[in-house]
Amino acid sequence: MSFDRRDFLRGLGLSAAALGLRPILGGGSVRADDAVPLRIVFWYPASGLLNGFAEPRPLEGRDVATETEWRVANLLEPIADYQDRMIALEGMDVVADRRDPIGGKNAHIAGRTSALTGAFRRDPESAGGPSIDQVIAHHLAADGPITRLPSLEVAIAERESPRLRDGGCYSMSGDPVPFLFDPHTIYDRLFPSSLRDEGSAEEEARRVRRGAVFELLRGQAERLKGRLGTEQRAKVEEHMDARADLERRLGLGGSRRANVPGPEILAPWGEVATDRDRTPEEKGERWWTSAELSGKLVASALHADATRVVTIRVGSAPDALFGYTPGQYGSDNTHDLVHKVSGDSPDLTDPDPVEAIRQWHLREVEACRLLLDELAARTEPDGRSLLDHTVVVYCGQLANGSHDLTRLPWTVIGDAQGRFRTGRLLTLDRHMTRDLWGLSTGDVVPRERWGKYHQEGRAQNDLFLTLAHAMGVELDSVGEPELCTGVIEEMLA
Amino acid sequence: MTVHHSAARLLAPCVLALVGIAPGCKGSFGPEPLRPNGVDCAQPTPSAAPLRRLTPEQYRASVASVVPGVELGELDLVGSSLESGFDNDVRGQGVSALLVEQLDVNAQTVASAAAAETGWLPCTDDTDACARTVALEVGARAYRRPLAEDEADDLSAFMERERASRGLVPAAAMLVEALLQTPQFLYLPEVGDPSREAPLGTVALTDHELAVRLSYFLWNEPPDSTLREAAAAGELTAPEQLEAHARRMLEDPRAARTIDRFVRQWLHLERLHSAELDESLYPELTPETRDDLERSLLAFARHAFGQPGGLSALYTDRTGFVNDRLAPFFGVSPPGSEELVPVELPDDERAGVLTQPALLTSTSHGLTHSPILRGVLVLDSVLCVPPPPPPPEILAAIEDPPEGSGVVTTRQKIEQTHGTNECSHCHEAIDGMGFTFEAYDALGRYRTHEHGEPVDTSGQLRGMPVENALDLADRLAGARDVEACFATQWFRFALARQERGADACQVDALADQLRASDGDLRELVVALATSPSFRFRPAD
Repeated sequence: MSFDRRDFLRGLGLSAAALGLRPILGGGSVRADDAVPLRIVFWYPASGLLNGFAEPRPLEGRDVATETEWRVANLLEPIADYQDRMIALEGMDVVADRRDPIGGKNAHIAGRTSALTGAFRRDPESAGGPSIDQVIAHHLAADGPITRLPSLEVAIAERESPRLRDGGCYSMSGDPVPFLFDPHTIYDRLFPSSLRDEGSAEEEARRVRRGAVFELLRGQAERLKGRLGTEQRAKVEEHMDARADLERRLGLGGSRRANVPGPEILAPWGEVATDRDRTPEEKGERWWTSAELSGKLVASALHADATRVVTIRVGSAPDALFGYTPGQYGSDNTHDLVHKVSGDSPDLTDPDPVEAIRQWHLREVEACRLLLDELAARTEPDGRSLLDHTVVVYCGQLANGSHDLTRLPWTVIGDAQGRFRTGRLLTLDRHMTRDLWGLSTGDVVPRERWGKYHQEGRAQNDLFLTLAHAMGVELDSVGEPELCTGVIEEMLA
Repeated sequence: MTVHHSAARLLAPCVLALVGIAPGCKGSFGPEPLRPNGVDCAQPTPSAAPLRRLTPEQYRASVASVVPGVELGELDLVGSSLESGFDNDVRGQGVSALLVEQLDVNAQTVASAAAAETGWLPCTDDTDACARTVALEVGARAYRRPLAEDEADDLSAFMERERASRGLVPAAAMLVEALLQTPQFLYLPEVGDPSREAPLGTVALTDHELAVRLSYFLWNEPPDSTLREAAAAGELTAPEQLEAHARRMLEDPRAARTIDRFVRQWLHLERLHSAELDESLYPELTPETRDDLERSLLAFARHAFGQPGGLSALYTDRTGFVNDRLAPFFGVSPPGSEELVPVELPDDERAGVLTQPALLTSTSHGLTHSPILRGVLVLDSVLCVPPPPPPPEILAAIEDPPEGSGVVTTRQKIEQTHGTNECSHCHEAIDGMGFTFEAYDALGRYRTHEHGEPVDTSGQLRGMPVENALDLADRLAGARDVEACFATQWFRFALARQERGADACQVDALADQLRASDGDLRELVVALATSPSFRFRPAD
């Protein structure tokens, strides 16, 4: 990378004032160490949701949904029990994508490089800034690590895939953050044996030994840095910062050791190393087991305070899970079929293929339900549930199967320890913007001159800013500063 | 379907068209060489030298060189985050918490194994002298060069101190645990030697830095003793000597494996293993046949590169590497062999790498083949003109034909979809290329009909009509743009980065050298290894 790391951060609008923790919303102060911490989970499907089924609904017998009288979207029915904890958002777009002069290499890359970053791309394949999860994790640890892992990124999938490598999370340097897929690997990372053996004489000897090892390698790195040019030195600094963080992180997490689950929770996964020969049904079962275990592992990680920031990338549910067979409805795969039933003017409107895709989405939302139930089942020291101390953001890299990044069907679940007023449907203002060469300029066009297209909703950057503040990270902006207009006041209690 | 309204993004292909390299644009394809615009090529210089990290494969080989003979066990390491491109591309080498955790765990694993044996140690006396020897020798193995004085002092002091309290072998294991996590080991730092002659604005790499570049490029592992000795003797600075070593290394089987690695990544062969084809329609596509197909393509590439006119042969040679399982894919009689054997393929059915069943299968999915993916592969990998991204609102699905429309074949369906809307702007070039492969089904088997209809293999290359894949192969063979793209791909592979700015001059010169050598891959590799881009880095 050809830029200075710190210059890059400055370029992102993260001013020196914004880099530290400051008082949270409403004039509060940074929470005391012994308070139950607030956690955040980004539930991040790859596929968006089907138009016509993704929108919050009016109550039975009513024509329109209102802020307080509404039902969850058809596709969110599996998590309807949690409606009282929700804020359903309408009218929000990934504005950064629409205004970015550098298009994504393809629609999926466009989505994942902008959905969680709210930033313009560095090039057609690369994000131009950090994702919101990494921003929050970075600032929570501004004064040093507070949890064993700064953040956790896991994928629900039936098998390993190159697509899981770049799942939509980007580090403070704008590099993709890898997602973990294998539950054993996730478990070992979250709960290493050193955590389980903490306090023993052997562990103390290991601690002294690794301290000496670290001092040596840190000294060697310093020797090298002095000889390198600017660009190579910046990379070494970035690496050694991460390495130093690891040293500090390893000393954390012991106080909640009782919440560390035993390795027996991994039993359903088995030890199978290869997955090339699975039948469609076995692939479906594997995906579901992956969803179950990710729910348990993520909830355990939060409960043990191994991390406070998690992103779950939801890989597409295999065909067998929703009863689809390639070739049905004239499509040779789910990807093709979802395109055909999506968008404002879908090619296919027959009920059967639409129902197939609806079922596909429902399986993924049922997986989200597993997570919410796991969070609700764990009790925190104050007697409330872990879910009471967690914000789950149902988001994603696409709005729907047409690759749209507008009209995001995003929902926030959790009141952020009383900071959000939940149980509500929030319809944010949309506006028209003047275009130049087809690219949005951001200049607002009077409503009477609106046409069919080019409506622009509230930038998701504002949601990210609101979430960051709720987590105690009071930034000036997130992503492109000119797109971030401020906290979404309507969400606040 | 909405109209794509991001004109700025649509302008990208038009800008490319102005310089004559856009798909569907006339001008560059043919004998006229591609010359970079606006760059002074009198003295090509590198545009960048980002800090490269060892790939997982290189990491394992490098660890083994630090503790030779020690059983390493499992060493997990996160690889490139890029979906495509070469595995060493610095763009996919972000630093993450996961990365440093894995490196830490790996270092502990190796240190633990190293503590259990002593064969890797230069000496085993429990003395300060031996402790210093261990520090200097093992340190130099890890850093792939003699240690700087301050580095040596620190490592020696550490060894003396830890030996005194723990004994020599445990201290040495701790040393290894630290060394394997130093940036000197994990990355390929390049300080350079400003005292040496170098083009304006650049710094010459040191002999040891050149040895490291050359070795990881050609063998994917640290320098061997011959190369280390040559570096120590200052013999690599002269291009002739660097060339001699490059030629020596190219004779080694490890270089052949590097060419395999290049071909695998250049042509995205990983997709051969992940392509999801309907199992009821294609039961013969088992994990074993996928492995066979990949080995067959790699064997073909090695064979083609050994033929006169190497690069041209890659596109036109009519040899197939077949065993009994693959015979139906190639449409030949089973050779009665489990091993792959060379077979001459029918003249009118196949020619070159693009008609290899492995490649044709890798671009298929679901129920059938994908002319679109086949077209994109040629444009992106062979011609280096990746199609512009599809508009964000566009529907990617191929529409089903109305009943009674007479639309039967895959080609007809695609033409129906892409010919009637704004897709045609880009898809003329993509589909025009992909349709030339219509004589091959989803597994790359030759055919004359699809669903009872004769296949139509006519297509186009930059507006020029093309009869079929064999005609396309003939046109690609020896074409300047194909040579330039091939040189570009090797540039990226060798330097672990994308070309930019003044690199265009270097790539252009490499393409010239490739042509001058009649498409000889070895000559291209040697030219790369001795090029200014390889020997110098930009000055700060």
